[in-house]
Formats: sequence, structure tokens, C-alpha cells
Amino acid sequence: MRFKNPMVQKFWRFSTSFQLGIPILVALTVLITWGTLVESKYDAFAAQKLVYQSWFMYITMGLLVYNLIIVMVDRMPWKRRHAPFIFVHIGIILMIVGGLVTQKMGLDGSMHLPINGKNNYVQVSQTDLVVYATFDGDRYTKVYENEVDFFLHPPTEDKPYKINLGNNEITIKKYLKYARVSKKLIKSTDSNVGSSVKFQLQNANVTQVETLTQPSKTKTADVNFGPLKVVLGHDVKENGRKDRSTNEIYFNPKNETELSYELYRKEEMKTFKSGTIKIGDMIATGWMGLELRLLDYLPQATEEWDATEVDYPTPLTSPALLIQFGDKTQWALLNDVVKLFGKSEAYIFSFQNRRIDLGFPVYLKKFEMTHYEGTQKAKTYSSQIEIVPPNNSAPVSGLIEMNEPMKFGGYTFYQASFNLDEKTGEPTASVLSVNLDPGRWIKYLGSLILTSGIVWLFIQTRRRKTAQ
Amino acid sequence: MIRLISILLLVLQVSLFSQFANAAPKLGEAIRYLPVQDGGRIKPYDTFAKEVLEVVYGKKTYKTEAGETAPAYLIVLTWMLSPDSWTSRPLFEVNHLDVKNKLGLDKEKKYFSSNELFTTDKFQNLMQELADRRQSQEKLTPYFQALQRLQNQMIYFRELAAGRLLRIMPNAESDTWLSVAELPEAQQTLFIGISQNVAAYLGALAEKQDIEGAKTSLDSAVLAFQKSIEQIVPQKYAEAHKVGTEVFYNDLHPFRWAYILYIVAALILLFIWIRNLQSGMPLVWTIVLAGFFTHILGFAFRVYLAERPPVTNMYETVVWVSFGVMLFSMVLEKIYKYRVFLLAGTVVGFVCMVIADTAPAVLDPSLQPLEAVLRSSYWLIIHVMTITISYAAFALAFGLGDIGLIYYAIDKDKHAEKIQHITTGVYRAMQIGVAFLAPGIILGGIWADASWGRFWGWDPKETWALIVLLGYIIILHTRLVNWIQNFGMLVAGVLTFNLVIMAWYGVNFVLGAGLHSYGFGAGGVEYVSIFVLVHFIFVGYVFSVKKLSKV
Repeated sequence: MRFKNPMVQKFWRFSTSFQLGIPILVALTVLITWGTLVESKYDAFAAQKLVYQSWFMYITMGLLVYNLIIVMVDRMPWKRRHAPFIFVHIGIILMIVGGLVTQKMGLDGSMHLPINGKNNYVQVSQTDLVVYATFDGDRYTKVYENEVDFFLHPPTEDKPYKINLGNNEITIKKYLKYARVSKKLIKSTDSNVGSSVKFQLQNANVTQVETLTQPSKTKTADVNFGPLKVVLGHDVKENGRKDRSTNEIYFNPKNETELSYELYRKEEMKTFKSGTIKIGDMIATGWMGLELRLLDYLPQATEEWDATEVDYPTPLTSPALLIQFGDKTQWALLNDVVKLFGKSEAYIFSFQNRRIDLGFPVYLKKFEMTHYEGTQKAKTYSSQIEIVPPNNSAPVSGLIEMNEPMKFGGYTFYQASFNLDEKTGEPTASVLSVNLDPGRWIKYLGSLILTSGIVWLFIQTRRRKTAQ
Repeated sequence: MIRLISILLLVLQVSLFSQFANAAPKLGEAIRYLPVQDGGRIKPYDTFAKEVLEVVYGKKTYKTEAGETAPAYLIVLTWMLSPDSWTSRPLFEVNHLDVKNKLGLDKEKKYFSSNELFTTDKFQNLMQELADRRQSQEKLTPYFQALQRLQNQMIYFRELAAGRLLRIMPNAESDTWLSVAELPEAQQTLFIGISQNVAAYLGALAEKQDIEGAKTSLDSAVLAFQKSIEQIVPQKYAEAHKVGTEVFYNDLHPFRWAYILYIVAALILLFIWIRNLQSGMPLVWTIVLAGFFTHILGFAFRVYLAERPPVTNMYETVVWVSFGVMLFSMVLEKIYKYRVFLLAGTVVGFVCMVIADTAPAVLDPSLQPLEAVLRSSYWLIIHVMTITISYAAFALAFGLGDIGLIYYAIDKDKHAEKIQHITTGVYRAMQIGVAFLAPGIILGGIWADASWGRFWGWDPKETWALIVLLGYIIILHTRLVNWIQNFGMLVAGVLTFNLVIMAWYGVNFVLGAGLHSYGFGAGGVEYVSIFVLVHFIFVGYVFSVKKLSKV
């Protein structure tokens, strides 16, 4: 193509030349190399945020598409020999466009399905701040919701993020990308607050220290050791045993210094042993020589997070926010709820991954795992699921296995992972990845065109060389 | 020529398969064929013993103080027989300098006894350090990987000596076989009989008296043990019928034969090429093809034994790339008849195979079961094989580039024709590589879409494959517009291959270990770095020679 205007002609020449094309390819190579280094140093999320979804990545990709198009237009009118070259370029453009469509319009999230449970929400990587308010302590209404990207735009002491709630204000003063967190107990004088115990379980082979804290005065807390369960704040006489299939110990606060306890044996309804216990006392459980010693007891206590910043993420770190409400500051972790008490109203504050309602529930009917013979190495795992369509027609069931997804309502459900109980090693939930990919067909079309272009190109150059 | 080749191949294969047919145990070696359950599959005791010795000692055979070589199947059994006699013998390989320092060991020595290693407080401290690191769930740096190996060495030895590691009898009730310690009384007695016979055999070997008799007696003890198990669980024991083939595979070591044939061919080719001889090529072709068929035979064995495709881990990809290098060099050689293509191919193929054979700590040759996510997926196998075969083409370009640069260093004007031929080869090999890599990446996308639900996710392994592709596309385009000439093409053949090394090896061993763990020492990172560095220096040297010759 030629243009009369010398400036335009010059610009056109430059656009179609390798002086533009090759530097773009080099820039792209350097960028994505950097991306892999960021991923190695931090994690995949950081690499996405800092490199692959950054504005310079978009610019480079944009320039690449521009160059690919201009170079094709410049060859017009096309001849037969141009065909493979055009195929390759169109293929690449389609794949980039398909990728963009997926990123902007698709859905890529995960869904936890508890064994024999259900879920209709898909969790995605975007984060929201949500606040619910109540005046009677019973009915909560959503009073605030806003998307935040604290990873790229963190609040600071100088530039805090403020949530105005009319009479009250929540101030977010700090964001930690990677925080190592631990629970700490705060003694309370509030009479609505539950109790907390710290105890040690010991026999010849094991020693374990555990802390149990009631979420509130009327709620129970428990911990499962497999052959033994310890429960705090549950009245057996009124509500019955929680789990008859295992040995159980129940603690209930009696007064400021003492707790009452009851021991139940597996499959039995009558009390095996009972009494009261105070700090320092020991109970011989009679099971496998296990002895339980009470190390600490707080009649009123609340649990709070304590967070310290670390340089790199590990499976144990979590993003954390430092929030101030009134004169109290505390940490809030991602996907955790924090209760805040005002003069006449209470709030629930949550910094959470967005959960998208699919509009229909997914039931997990069965989860199966097989192992390689004589090992704990997983060979296969699969989920039998059932979906109840929104129009109340007959439920659809399907088996999802590794590499064998199930499709429903435009969504594809894949077997991604599973959760195991830390103590017993039994699976507790199946993790599915759920996605909606409107760009899929574009990418596949692009792949097809690109691949045929490359093969064609290869054959063509071979013929040309042989002909010479 | 073709007749010669076919006759030779026939002789080779007849001799191989006649051995195969006679795969009955040699005298005194029946014990090697005992079926054992380990690592999620049934294997012969021979393989088990070699793998255990490899973990503990770093080698498949043990060198006694007297300087004699003892096979793994005898050594490992003596751990169980008399663990105490081993406490002061140098059995445990420790390589990591930092670990040696912290344990107060002699830095010059390589092997240590369990007394030196495991009885000290220092060892307990290191194990605590490792436990803390695991608790924090941070990545294990090479230092911690070395600690982990030390722990494994201790556990393997201790568990084997206690009779808990060797699972030797099928269990009627469950999938897990019974270990020596769990054997029923009758079998327990028979197993002790085997141990005693091994001791007697070792004694006979040492005193060089009645070795034949000891061998016969050992074999009959093994047979008695096997027979008694067969009576209890005949069905499950019969399923272990592949052990004979596996012992044969262990003994035959087909990949070693392949690389020996490759290097012989390479040396003859070198002579032909340097002397510009017109004859000799039929001989070279015969040897190369014999090597190539042995190579394929090795793959066939692995597929049969593991019941899965042969390209799933680092070791297997190296062997596969070597295969691809041979294939592409033979095809290009057939078309162009420049001889240098086959030369570069045999050299690179040989080097790959030797690396695969000599670095078991990095490239694990044992047959392992697959991760759940990798099972039963057609696309997985296709895309891995397509991508790694493209690495083979780039490896060929690399080998040719090296040869071409040597000519530049010697005299580029005198060898202008040869350099031209080599450059053509580099360009062609790169084209082949790109023609496989681009579809391979797309196939990888299809696989990822089918099993993880996304076509492209910027995962480091897939991103680095894309980086390799972009690198070679940049080179091919710059050549297309004549930005680089013959010399540039040769340099590109050598240097761009560093991207392949990164994608293939670096992602797993450098990025995987975490960039913030600057320690080298595990996974052979230091050797690979030296290899890369030497090539940069070489290219720099040739470049300066070229500059000077212009002046």
C-alpha cells in the first residue's frame, strides 16, 4: 500500500516493518519472562496483578495485534502465496481476542461442596468490602458493599480507606498482602461473650495442646481428634449428645473458676464420668491412657487475630486488614467476619472474595477417592453431583472426574481438588472449579487457523526451496 | 547398504529376543525375581533393592572396603540380616556442603556411617529445623531438600532393617501387601531361611569356597518361600507376572546400548567429515539405526512395564528428546546428505542419553505411578510429546551451531561451504522446532481446558514454552529480513537454546525452588549453570576471533 502524504507513508512503512514487529515480540518475551519470575518469587495472583493484567501488557498485546493487522493489509491485494501467512496472523489475532473476551466476560472460580452438602455460590478472585448492620441483634441488613483492589491500591495510615455508616465510621488503616496470623485471646467483661479453655491431651505417644473458644455465650465450640471429641458450651441433658459415634468430653462453665465436665463413651447414652475441673486439674479419660489437663480457663473471652507481615506468601499466610472502629483497632482476614459493636447498633464487617450466585444449587451426593496400591497417593477422585435447575424441572445428575468435566447452563464444572480433615484424614469437601468461557470458541477457531497456517507455511517453504 | 542394515538389525534383534526368551534366573539369582510391592506398583526385588540403595548410597551397586563391587540385592538384604554390622560402615551419601558443615563432617568425604550421622544432637537439631520449615509450609530450598534426603536415607535404612519397608507377600484382605515383619509364622521362618542362605552365600564368596553350592541352596530357599505364598494367595501372586521382564530390562539396559552405538557412529562420522571421505556412510547408517532401534526397544519395555506412555517425567523427556534429535537428524541427513546433520545428531543424542543415565538424583529413572491429574488423558501425552520433540529440534540446532562456530574459530573462509551447510541445518532445525512447538502449546491449552477449565493461565511451564516459541520466531523473522547472517544464525542456534534449558529444566529446578533461595546444590543447578556459562564464553571467544580476523 502507498500513501501520498509522506508523513503517513513513513508511519505506514514503520508500522508494517520489522522495526516495529520484532521489538514488540522482544518486549512481549521480556514481559512474560518477568511474569514467571514474579510468580516464582510470590505467587500466581501477584504475577496476574503485576504483570499479566497490567496496562503495559495490554499495550504490548494491542501493538502486536495492530502490527499483525497492518502487515496483512499492506500485502493487499492478496495472492495465493499469501494465504498461509494470513492464516497464521489471523489465528494469532483470534487467540488474543478470545483471551480478552474470556478475561472480561468469562467467569473462573471455585466451589466448595461439603460431603453430602450443597452450594450455589462460586467464589472468584475479586474482593469486596461488605458491612451488615443490626439494631435488634437479630435481623441484619446490608448497608455497604464496594469492590476494592487493595493488592494494587492499599490503604495506609496517611491515606486510610473510610466506610461511612452514618453514626459510625470504619477506618481501614493498613493492608498486608501476606500476613502470618495467629489467634489471641482477649479477656472480656461483656456478659454476652462466651468462655474459653486451653487444655493438654497426653499419653505415652502424643502430647497435644488445644484452645477452644465459644463464638458467643449460646454457641458451642468443639474439636475432633478422631477417636475423641472435646466440646465446650453444650448441654447434653437439654440437647443430647453431638456425636455418638465417638468418645466425647463436654465442658460447661460453672462459675468464675470452675467448669463442669461429662465424659461419654462411644455408642453409649449414659455418662461415663463427670465432675468439676479448675485450672491445673487433670482428668484420666480411660481411653488409650489419655489424660486431659486444664491449662487455662477464661469465663468470658473473645478471640482476635494477630497478624505479622511476611515477605512471601505460603499456604499459611492470608491477606489482612487493620480496621479501626471507635477507639478499637483489630485485624480482619480475607473471607473472615468481624463483629463490631456500636452504642445502639452492631455491625458485621467482611473483606471477602466475591461470591457469585449461579441461580441453582449443586448437591454433592458422593465423593470417591482411590489410591495406588499400598500407598496414600491418590490415583483418582470423583464427585457425583446433582443440579436442581432453576425452573424446577427434573434434577440433572452427573459424575465429575479428573479430566472429565460436566456442563450445565453454560457453565462447566471440573474436579479440581478436595479437602481432607486434618485429624482423621477423611475427605470433608470436594472442590470444583466452575467456569464460563464465552471466548472459548474464538480461541479454538484461532488455534485451528494458526496451526493450519503453520503447517501450510512449512510445506510451502519446503516446496520453494526444493524448486530452486 | 540396505541389505547390510537389515541383516545387522536382524542379528541384533534375534540376539536380544533369544535372551528375552531365556529370561529364567541365573544360578543364585532367583531372589532378584521375588515380587515386591513398593511405590504403588509390583516390582521385582531386584529393582526395589537398586532403588533403595540409590536413595541411601546414591548408586545401584555398593563398593566394599576391600574395593569389591557388591550388587544391591545382596547388600540391602544384609541390612535386615545384621543391621548392627552396618552402623560403622560408610553407607550414606551426603553431598551438600552446608549440611556436612552443620554435622561437623569431613568435607572431603562423600560417604558416612549411621554412627557418624544419626546419633548426634546436631542431627536432631537439623531434623527439628526441617520439621519447622515444613510446618511453615514454605518452599523447600536446596538446603532443606538435602535435609529431606538425609531424613529419607535414615528412614529407608531403619525401616528396611526393621523389616517394615519390604512388602513381600500379597494380603488376602487388603491391597497393601504384608511386610517381612508382618509375615505369618510359616513364611517368616522361610524368609529367615533366605536370609541365612544369603549370609552363607556371602561367606562362601569371601572365602571363595563352594560358591555353586551356596547359590543352589539360596535359590531353593527362595523357591520354597515363593511356593508357600503361592499356596495362600495364588491369584494375587500370579498378577505379578511382569517381574521377569523387568529384571531382564534392568540387566539389558537398552538405553546404554543405544548411546554406545551413537557415540561409535559419531566418532566414525567425525573421521569421515574431517577427512572429507566419500565412503563409509552405509556403515554409519547401520550403526545409527541399530542404536535407534535399541532406543525404541527401551521405550517399548517401559511402556509395557509401567502400562503408561513413556514421556511423563524429567528423565523420560530427556530420553525422548534424544530420540527426537536422532529422528530429525536422520530425516535432514536423508534429504541434504551433508553428513554434518547426522554428526550433530549423534553427538547431541549421545550427550542427552549419558546425562539421563548418570544423574539419577535429578533424573529419576525409576518407573513411578502417575499423579491423579495426569492419568488417562490423551491430550496430556500428545502435548508433552509434541512440545518436547520440538526441544529436540532446537537441541539439534544447538549442536549444529556449536560445530559451525568451531569452524568460525578455525578459519571461516576456508570452510565457507561447510559453514553454509551447517547454517542451513540450523535454520531448518529451528523451523521444525517451531512447527512442532506452536501446535504443541495449543494442544497443551486444549488439555488444560479439558482438565482444569482454562485454555491459558500463565502457568510458568506454559509461559516458558511460549517464551521459547517467541525466541525462535524472533530469530526466524530477523533471518527472513536479513538482520542476521550465517554467523548470527549459528550464535542464535547456540544461545536461544538457553531458553529451552530454562523452559525444560529451569522452571522445575530454578523457579520451582523459589528465586529467593539463592542456594545452589540440589538438582544439578551448578552443572547446568556451568554448561550455559561455557557456551556464552565460547560464543564470546568466537566473536572476538571473527572481529580480529576482519582487521
